[in-house]
Amino acid sequence: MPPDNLKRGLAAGIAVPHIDTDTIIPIDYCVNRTRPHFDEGLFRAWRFNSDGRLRKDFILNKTPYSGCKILVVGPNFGCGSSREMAVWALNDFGIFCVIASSFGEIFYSNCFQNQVLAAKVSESAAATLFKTLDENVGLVLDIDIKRNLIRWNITQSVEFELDPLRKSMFLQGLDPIEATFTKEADISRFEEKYRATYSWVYEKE
Amino acid sequence: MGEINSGKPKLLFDKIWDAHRIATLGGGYDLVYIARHMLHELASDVAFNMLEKKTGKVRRPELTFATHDHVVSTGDDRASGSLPKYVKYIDMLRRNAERHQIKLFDLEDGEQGIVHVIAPELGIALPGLTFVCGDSHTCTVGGLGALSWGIGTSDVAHVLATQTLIQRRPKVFRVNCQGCLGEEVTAKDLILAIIGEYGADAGTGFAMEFCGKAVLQLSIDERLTLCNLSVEMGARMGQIAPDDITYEYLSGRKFVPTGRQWDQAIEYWSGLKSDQRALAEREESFDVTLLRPQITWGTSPAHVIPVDGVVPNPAEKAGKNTRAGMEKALAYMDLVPGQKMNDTKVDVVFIGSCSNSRISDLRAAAAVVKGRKVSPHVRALIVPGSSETKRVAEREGLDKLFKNAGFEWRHSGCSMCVAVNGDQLKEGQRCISTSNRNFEGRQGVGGRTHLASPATAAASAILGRICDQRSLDAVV
Repeated sequence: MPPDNLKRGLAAGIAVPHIDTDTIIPIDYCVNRTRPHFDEGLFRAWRFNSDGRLRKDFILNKTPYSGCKILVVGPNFGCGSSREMAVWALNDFGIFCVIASSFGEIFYSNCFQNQVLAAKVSESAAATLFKTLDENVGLVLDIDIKRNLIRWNITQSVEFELDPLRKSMFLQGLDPIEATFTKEADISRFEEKYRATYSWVYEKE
Repeated sequence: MGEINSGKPKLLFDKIWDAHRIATLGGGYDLVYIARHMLHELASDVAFNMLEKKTGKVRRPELTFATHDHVVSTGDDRASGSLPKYVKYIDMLRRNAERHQIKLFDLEDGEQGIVHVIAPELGIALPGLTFVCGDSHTCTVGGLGALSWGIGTSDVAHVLATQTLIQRRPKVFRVNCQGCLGEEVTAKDLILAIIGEYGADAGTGFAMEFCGKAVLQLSIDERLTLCNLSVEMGARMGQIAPDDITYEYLSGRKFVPTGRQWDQAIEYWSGLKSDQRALAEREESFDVTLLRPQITWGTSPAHVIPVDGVVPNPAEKAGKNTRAGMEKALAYMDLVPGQKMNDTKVDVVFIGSCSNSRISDLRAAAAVVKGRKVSPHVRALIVPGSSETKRVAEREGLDKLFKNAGFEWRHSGCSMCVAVNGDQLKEGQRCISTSNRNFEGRQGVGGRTHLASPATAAASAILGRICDQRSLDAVV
């Protein structure tokens, strides 16, 4: 099912910069499990004590944020390791949208492989969102994907950035591999020419 | 492909990207051809499952190579010695490689090692070729002049199925490293200082190019170290133009072309320098003359200071985000502002990882260690980056030198950098590590990581506290 153009969800804010993918999901929780069980590792060291008890001070363990669907996070979110499990952990927890002023690039690209919306906003828009979240417990955000808008309280909104290709693939729920299969003629033509020019790429004589 | 010699001045990056562009998809995206793909055991099994749901067929198995590095034990027991829950990843890669006729450098083959170490060592990574792997440190082999970047699992499946990727063309961020490095300063110190100067996300949206006199003087091992940490400043790719040092390094390696094909390759490679009039979107000049050995104090690679420096004070820094991040890092690292790094006791020293586990790294550590002993309270490990590196080091007697000094001499693998193979920190332990990530819990839950060069790590192992080679020489 392609995602809807409009999405609504409870939002939580974690105003920490440079949250890396090891923090989003430690490596031990990346293995020996399948979707939708990667959420066990989500922010593991922040969400749980070493004995497996929930840490009361962490926002995702507080009412009503344990059911949040949208995360507003500090800049460079998802930097570091390429592990796609970081996106799976967020999504398996129920999060369908992450909002930040910047993202780690591999994480950003992994989001769109999994129909998770990574919404890039300006630094001032991020500051507005953090402030609004602080002042309004249980704030619900509306994500208008077609218009690139994040709205709340009917009248207020900030814009987010999403390039046309990702947006159209996202809205159509298009699988990148299937999209590339439609380019097979181009690929074959390119490969023939490439092989003729750089035969040494393929085999040693 | 004929575009290389056309009139418009181009950067190194442009030349390689354009030579691999199949189609323009609009909005800054291109469909690019992948000339080299490497797999490791931890990121490939789900990708093969995804492939099964498509064609089930690897489009160009001859362009794909595989090895085990992440989960293998670095003890004598290798596969069986790894943590039980990870062992199956080794078997799954073996099965997938056999089924799809992909060349696998298995544990017994003598060519196994960390992907980013064996790719240059065997000549799989080559200048001017696109190279991807499901690991963020794939930027390492940009040190040879390859255009390389790390990808997620879905993209690994994409490459297996199509030999292509849908990729946004990045901008280029060129750092011109001027002056000459001091004799005690390494490529690791240089890249840590660059990340400290520009920030952990300065490279986001960019491909890095490193150039200038200080870079031209670096050996290939050092260039690989420099490019390895490009991703720690947010850039997926890092590159250095190939030159005679590159060709000399590559000549005669297993998968490097020979004879007429070598001449053809050289003809292509020698055109790969950035044209003189070409300008990158961001150009910076970085003077290396006064650079000192560097070490990280916090939980981001940008949290870096000279080894003889003091822990910075968040209150003196601009920006709420920066301050909040620093305060959190100080608490996690159990350090206070103004504290001398030199006085800080260490529990573990790890010399290894795709940043610094090549033969020149081991030689640099050995030069520091020679005739000295590891401090009694320190656990110190040397983990060569590949089976071949280990053999070369043993031929030179480095294994004995390290063992006599009190180091553990281990088999090749990612070891304590990724900490899913039995090598990891215990809660609260402080480690000097030659790896590339000092994130919270990266080397084990509650572990504290300080990134540094092999020489600094070796010196710290001897004194049992953080120090660089110069202060070690002054003491013992």
